[in-house]
Amino acid sequence: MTGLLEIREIFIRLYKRYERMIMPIAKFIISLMVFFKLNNFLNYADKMSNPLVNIALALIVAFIPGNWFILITMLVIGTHLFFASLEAALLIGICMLIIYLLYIGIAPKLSYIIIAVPLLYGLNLHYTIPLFAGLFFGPISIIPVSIGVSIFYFSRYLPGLLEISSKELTDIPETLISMFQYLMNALLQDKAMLLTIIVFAIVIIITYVIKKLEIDYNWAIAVAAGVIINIIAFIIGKVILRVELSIIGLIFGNIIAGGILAITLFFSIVLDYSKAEKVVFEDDDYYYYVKAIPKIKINKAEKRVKRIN
Amino acid sequence: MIKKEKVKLMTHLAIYEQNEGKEDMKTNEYYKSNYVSFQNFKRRLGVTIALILIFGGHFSIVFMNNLYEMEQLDYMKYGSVYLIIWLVAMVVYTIIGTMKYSKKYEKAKARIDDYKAILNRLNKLS
Repeated sequence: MTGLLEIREIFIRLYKRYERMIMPIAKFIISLMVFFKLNNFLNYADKMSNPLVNIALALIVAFIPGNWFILITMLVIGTHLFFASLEAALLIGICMLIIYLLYIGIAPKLSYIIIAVPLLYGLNLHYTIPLFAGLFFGPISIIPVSIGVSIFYFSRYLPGLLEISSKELTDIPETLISMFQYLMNALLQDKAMLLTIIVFAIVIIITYVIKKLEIDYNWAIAVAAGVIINIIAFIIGKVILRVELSIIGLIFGNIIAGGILAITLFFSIVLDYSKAEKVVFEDDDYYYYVKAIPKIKINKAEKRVKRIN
Repeated sequence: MIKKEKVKLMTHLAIYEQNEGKEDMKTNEYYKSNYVSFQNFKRRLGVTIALILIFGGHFSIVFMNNLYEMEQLDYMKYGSVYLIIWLVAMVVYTIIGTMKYSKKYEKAKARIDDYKAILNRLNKLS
């Protein structure tokens, strides 16, 4: 155990020292994965599918504020759809605008979850979503998780949506309405999506509540409880709603999710998350070029006093 | 000769100015009530636009499905439902917005107060 703690200290020290380099590289890799996945899935605009375009976009994302990543992702989706169907591009554009105005505008930091959900589905790591959201964000993350799940399930109806097209410009309003109706019917009748949203919401709430309890190893119990509830709830939902779901995939996926969360928790127990800073200032006598590296403060176990009367 | 204490204080000030300082200064230009009201106004405007798009889409579907019976459509009923949803949304977003932006303003003010305290200490050292 001491060896593991020492390894963790080394990793955390390295990370804090070189965070200015590590963050852009991490953003580049993640955004490259997102754009490759998107372009492979949509593949309507040949020029957007060019690997050089993906690399260029990922390079841009690596050096801009995080909020712009969501806008660029929306632009990429919109561009692909524009080449496939003008009406679909317009409809999806309106849907993205609605999501932005109703949610992203008020909670920009949590909006990363909306993009993370479809990406994790693509990597078959989607069972980590409710565990991670419940432990690190709480019930407030139910909304972006639900939006992300809806976006993932919506993507399965995209081919059907693109089949609805207008023959003349004057048919566009009617086509838009037909597409909107198709979309609403498809999403509202999708039992798998409904089950996923409900189960993820339950797991988020339960992991959050257990994490907040003042007991030893509350984080570990929260992860274990989340994994078990995830499995049981999906099985019950599969039986009641008659949804197609692989039980083996469910169990293995949740075990892997539990393992990933355990590793994440092990490295995340660092108080005062501050990064290395490079600042330049001057006074009457000198110019100062200062690099400030934060000290690592590990969360110590709180002393709990029990009064027995 | 370089004074270590002075460099430490100036470093803290520079780090703050480089990070949250810019936005905190902009926030602090307003009184709290004005800041919260303005942010809530922007939020409500955005939500109203989003709801107009949703209601427009919904009513278009209803209209197209009842194209030959448009005279019998109960426009008052749809209008009332949309108005109630809009009012509820306004109340909910105003409550959430007030809590969020008040908290944001208080945190910014606390950071600026710390910044001013460090500036005072720096002035005494000079």
